[in-house]
Amino acid sequence: MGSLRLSNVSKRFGKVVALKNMSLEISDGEYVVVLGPTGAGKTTLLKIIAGLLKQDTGEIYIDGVKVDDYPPEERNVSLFFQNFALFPHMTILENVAFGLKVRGYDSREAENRALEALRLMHLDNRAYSYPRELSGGMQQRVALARTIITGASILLLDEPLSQLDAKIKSELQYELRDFVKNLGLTALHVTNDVEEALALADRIAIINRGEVVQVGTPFEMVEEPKDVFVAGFMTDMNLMEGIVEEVSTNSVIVDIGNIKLRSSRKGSFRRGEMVIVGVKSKDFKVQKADGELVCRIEDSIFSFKYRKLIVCFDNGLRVQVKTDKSGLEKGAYVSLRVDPNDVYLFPCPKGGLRAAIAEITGVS
Amino acid sequence: MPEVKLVDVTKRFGDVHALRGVSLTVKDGEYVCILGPSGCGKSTLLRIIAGLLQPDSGSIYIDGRDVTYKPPEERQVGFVFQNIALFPHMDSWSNVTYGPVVKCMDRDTAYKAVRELMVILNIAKYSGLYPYELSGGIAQMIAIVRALATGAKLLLLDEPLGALDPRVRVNLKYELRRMVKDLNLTAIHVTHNQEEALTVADRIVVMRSGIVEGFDTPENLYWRPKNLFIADFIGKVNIMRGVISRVIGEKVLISLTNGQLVELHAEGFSEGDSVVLAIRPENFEFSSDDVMQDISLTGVVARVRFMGEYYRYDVRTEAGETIIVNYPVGGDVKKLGEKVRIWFNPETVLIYPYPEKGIEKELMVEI
Repeated sequence: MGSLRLSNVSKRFGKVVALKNMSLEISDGEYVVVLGPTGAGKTTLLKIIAGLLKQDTGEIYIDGVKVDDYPPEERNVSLFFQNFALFPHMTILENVAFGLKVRGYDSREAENRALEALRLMHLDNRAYSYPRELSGGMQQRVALARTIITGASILLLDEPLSQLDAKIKSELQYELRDFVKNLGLTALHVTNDVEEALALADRIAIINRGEVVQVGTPFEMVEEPKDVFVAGFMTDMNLMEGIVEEVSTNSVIVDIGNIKLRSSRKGSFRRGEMVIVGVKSKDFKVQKADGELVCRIEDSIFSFKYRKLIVCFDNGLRVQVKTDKSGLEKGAYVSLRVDPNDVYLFPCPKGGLRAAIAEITGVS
Repeated sequence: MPEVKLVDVTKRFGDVHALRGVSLTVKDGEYVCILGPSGCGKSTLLRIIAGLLQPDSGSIYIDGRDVTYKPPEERQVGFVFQNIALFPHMDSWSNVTYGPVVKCMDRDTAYKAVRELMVILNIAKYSGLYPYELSGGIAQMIAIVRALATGAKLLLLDEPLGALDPRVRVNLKYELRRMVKDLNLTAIHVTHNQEEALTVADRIVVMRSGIVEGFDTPENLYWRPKNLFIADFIGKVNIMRGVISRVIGEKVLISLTNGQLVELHAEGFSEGDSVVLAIRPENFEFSSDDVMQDISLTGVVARVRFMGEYYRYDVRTEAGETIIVNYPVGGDVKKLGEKVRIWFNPETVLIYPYPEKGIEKELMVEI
């Protein structure tokens, strides 16, 4: 009772293209996370679906019905705003139950449901506090509780966990997913946090500059990113410019400034073609220096159970390597190995690798 | 390259005790993070070091000089805020040279120093651009250069990466650390983000409700946390309760509430003590039926999430506990409802006395 379909939706603000021919389908009961950098068009997308903004072209269907001319309250959606506002003169419980009461629930039933939602947010013990007595993160959870129990089948969530302490968020995200699933709701959740997307989503849609780049399950997005942008956004892949040196039936050899890597991943590349080579930091294996892929450890950074090594090759190429080996000191020489199955190849983006990385990380 | 020493610093705002007797020393050239949940007093502490706030009692020394009652401008500190506060009507160059100009410093020397700083940080090319033309990451770098432009060697950073996209944050935190080290600065960086603190700092101050719970290297906080709160705050832990049933030399035999016996290296416990075992999700292994481990638990997979480099499994044990297991991608993938046997290496177990106020209170981040 809550499927959602966008068909070729576009929106401009003056000269700025916020959404460009965006099409996306979300099944009833599905949890979809839209992931993208600031300015990608995420909030605009939600506002258009909610009916708070009108698209320039394209259609929106909810449960198969075109809703472009429906006002927000008739669209069966509930929107969580990034800048949510709680009623300052109402208790937490009254704030959460308010929407239900307005919709005609009797006050006992509304408060019971509100308490249940507050329990999910670990705030049932604060039900009778006022908003000003709560931290920003707690207030955000109250607003989230209010959004998910309005009775609408489709939740539109705009960065609903952005103000939470990392510690609380890391558990709450799994519980939020369970809660939404148990109620049989459909969710479209917008964020720029990859871990949050992985924890919550059935499918992830990555958008950039108003366009959908790739849609897939968390596994597909991490294991089969279709281009440099997705790879760089979803993973900590080392991305390097290389030239295809040799093409055989099952593999390709790429030259990265005299460093040769073999890739056996699918894809059609021609000899002499410029490509981007991607290797995740966990896929490089460190061993004693043996003449092949020799590099020097420049830095060794704590990374929980592992250490992240920054290593530098003779040709100046720097990569990050994650390892659980101990005793690897700064300044030591080591050799790297990588399984050809873990060497990704991507077509070279139009503006070159540096521009593509800058687009993801904001630092060139 | 200053050293910063705090002695018994307290601060109250009305009824709220923001700092309750904080003493610590940040060494010359050290990168220290102050980590804690919101409301723990970490920003108050930073503001007191900067001279933007006065403590109620206690003293602050910078390089051995008592600066407790000195105004900010006599402390030689650079301060960077979360909300990148550049002057919108000035280009980057005017922004970064504003301090030296206002302070009437020798123009040639000051400009030369600022220019060098921008070259080292690889941001000289943005000199002529206005704040609205810069990405968040670059704008924050400009703000940092401005903070250092008057020659400050002590850099105070209040959630400097907080306003940036997560991907930008990852990149910039390494840049920040490299900059502090290359320029021989001392840095004190406030954050509520565990991962940020652990990957950027030499040492971390863990704070909760105005108290320093711990001050140690990332390695020690992760592998040898001195109390249960820190163990759980720095990455997650699974908690099991038990009682010491026997002390055998340097080892203890613990009888867990689920009926199992575990032998561990531990000192300072006596027979009959209530204890808590804390085991990190990444330190559990799955075992096949033919290999028997000393300590293993059987249970059913109640939740599976693919988290990029690992799978997170919630395993519901026969005793009714939920154990979280993070297992690297690459091995067999367990399915929802599948019966599994998990075990842990006793070397990776952390052991603590059962907390007086109960486990829930001990772990609470929000007061």
